[in-house]
Amino acid sequence: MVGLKFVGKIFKALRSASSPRQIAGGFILGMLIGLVSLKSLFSAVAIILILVLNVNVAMAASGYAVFRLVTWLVDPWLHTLGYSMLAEAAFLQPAWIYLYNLPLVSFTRFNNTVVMGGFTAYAVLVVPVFILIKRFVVVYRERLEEKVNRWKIVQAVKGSRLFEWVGRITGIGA
Amino acid sequence: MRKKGVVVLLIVAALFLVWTFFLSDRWLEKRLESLLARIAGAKVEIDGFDFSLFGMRMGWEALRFADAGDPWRNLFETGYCVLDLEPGPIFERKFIVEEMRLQKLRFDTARETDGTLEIKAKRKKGPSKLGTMVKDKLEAKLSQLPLFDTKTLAMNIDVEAIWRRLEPTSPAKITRLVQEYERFAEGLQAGLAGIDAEEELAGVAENIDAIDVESLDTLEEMQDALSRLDRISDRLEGVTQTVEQRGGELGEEIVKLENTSASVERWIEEDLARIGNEVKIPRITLENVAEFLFGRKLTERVLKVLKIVEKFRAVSAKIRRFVPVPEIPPRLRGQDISFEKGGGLPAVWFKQASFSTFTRDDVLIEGSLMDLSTGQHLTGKPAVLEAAGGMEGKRSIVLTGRFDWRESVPKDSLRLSMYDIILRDVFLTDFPLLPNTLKKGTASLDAGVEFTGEALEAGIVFLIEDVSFTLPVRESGTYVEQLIYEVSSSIAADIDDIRIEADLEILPERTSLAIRSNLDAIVTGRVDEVLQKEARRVTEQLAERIRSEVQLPRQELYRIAREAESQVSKRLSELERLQDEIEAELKKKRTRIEERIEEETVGKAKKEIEEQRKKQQEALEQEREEKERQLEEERRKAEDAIKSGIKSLF
Repeated sequence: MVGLKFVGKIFKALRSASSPRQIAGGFILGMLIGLVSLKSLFSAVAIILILVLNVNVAMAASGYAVFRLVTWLVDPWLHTLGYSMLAEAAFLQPAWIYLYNLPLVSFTRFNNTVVMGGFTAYAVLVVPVFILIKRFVVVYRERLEEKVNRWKIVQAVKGSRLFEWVGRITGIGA
Repeated sequence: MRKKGVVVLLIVAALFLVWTFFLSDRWLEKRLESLLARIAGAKVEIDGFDFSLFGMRMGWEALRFADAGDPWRNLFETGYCVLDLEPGPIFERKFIVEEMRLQKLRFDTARETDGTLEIKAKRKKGPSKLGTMVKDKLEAKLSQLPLFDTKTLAMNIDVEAIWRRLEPTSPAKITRLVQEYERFAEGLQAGLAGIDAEEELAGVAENIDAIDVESLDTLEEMQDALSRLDRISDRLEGVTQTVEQRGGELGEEIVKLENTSASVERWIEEDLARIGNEVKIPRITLENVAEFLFGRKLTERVLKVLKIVEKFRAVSAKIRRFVPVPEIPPRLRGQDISFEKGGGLPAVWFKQASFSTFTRDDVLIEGSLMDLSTGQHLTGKPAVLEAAGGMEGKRSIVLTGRFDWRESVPKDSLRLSMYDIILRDVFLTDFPLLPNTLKKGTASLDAGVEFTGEALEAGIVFLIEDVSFTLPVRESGTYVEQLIYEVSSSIAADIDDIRIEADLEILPERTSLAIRSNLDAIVTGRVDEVLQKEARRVTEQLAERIRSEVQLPRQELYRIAREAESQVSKRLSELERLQDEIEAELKKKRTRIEERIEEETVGKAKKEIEEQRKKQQEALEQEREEKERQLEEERRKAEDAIKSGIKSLF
């Protein structure tokens, strides 16, 4: 039921009044929380931004969910990447030492290998993902929405009592 | 900007403040207990935890730190404690304690509940390099220390027990040899009977008797008899050689037997020599008496100090690990890399901690611990411990310590000085020949231990004055117990003061332990004298027993040998006498025949020559007489002529 609700929320977001920019913005903020740890100050900042800025919350949740799964899958690689940046890249050491002794910065947990690996991956992926999501929303609304609605599986799901019941509770079907 | 979002944030902030005021203490208490338990490997309980975010102060009413090695005891427990925190470093995730005041610190206390941690720390850490090296070397030293055990002593002076262990082999070996001798003696009888020379000698004697020298007439007959005697002599010579050869063979066998009997003395000597190995009464000398008395206790105490230093260092080493070691952390957990080497503040720094504690004898100790931090290279200050205390306001105990981990080789030192400590019923030593318990005395102690890297140096001076011992109740038990009682009473009577000096050095290349005390000479003289006397008594008893065990078989052995020798000798003497008689008869006959031959040959010629010589002598005598007569006549004529001439002159 949670999966169904989640998929419903994504579809709702795609056809909502939110602009493609807001949808993509929500997704990349969720992606940040997914890639770094929830215990990091990065995540706290991202959550505040999601709440304060006019970004799509559902897409932020989907961004978190997708990239939490990705992080779990590529965790050893992120650890290696973070370790090499924190412990092996000598030229970065002065920067880390400076940051380490700055107030509040240590709460980002940047000195953790997985957090650093995830944040590095985020820094590399954020712009391409933002552009891709934005484009996808436009293309979806222009060309794919009607086709997707005609899919038997979507109609079956929409017509089911369960979907109706879930929609009534959560307001997805509206 | 989303207004709803801002409202949500404000609500969250408000909830956080409420949580901080009402619920954070319990949450933080649980978190701190869990963190400390992971470090300790056993339960840590905090009561009455209080945290004030705005006052930057935290504290607790009581803390109990269970001992992982003995979960029913606490490593230590504290009473009320308060910590004043520096607010700035909190935002750098650093815990800097400006001042800490700790009361009622007590070590090694009993617990009411089991302190075992249900979820053990994931990584079980082994002992440190320092711990392993010093512990191994101390334990090796401990195992080398002389052990004085009364049970062993009792075993070592119990003649019956030693006799069973000794299992002397000489009596059995000698008995086996006696059996061999008896078999030899039987063989010898047969051997002697086998020398059948009488008949042969009788035949020789008959042949000699058959020659009648006086009846021989001619020279030819005599020469023939002489030839027969030569043949008889050859025959006799043959018999003699046979007897001599057989006699020689038997003699060789007897010599061989006697050589075997020479082993008897060797066997006995070997058994006697083994007594020395079995009577292992510890040799007490001036060099090792103090080790007997205090060696074990000293090394055990050093191991206890080592445990404390090891714990301190373990925490320090964890933080001082500049170069992170790559590890494989659990998924999504990652590994935290420390950048403390670059400067700034250490993660934890207790700038000043004052504490008060009570010893087991309820002596109040107050002190301070300065600059205990997880990064001395950042603070530039070693941790310094200073504590002092005593009964009734007297400063009779002073403890100082310095834990310097700023360089790669850590240096830790601890010094404990105690003065005018009244001792009552204090256990002194487990050395059985000295009264174990001090009834009363006044003690002073100056002990220092220094750890540099993995090396350890320790020095102790311990003085007890006005000593009085608690003598054990006399047990009219075993001989050893009585002996020990007498020795210990006699030593105790001579001791007024005890001064012990000890130096322990454990370096990677060597370990040395030197302990000296004024008891050395007293104990050495008295105990060694008694023990060595006992050793001599036991040795003599055992030697006597061995000698008495071998006496009969040895006598039997020598009797058989002497008898055998005598039998051979007697038999050979008989034959020799017979041979001599025959040889004498043979010689007599030969002489007589030779005389007869001489008579027949040389005698006649000699007679003729004698007669001719006589005749010649007579003729020469007549000629000489004639010449003398002529000379006399001429002389008379000459005198007459002279006389007539003189007459003519006058």
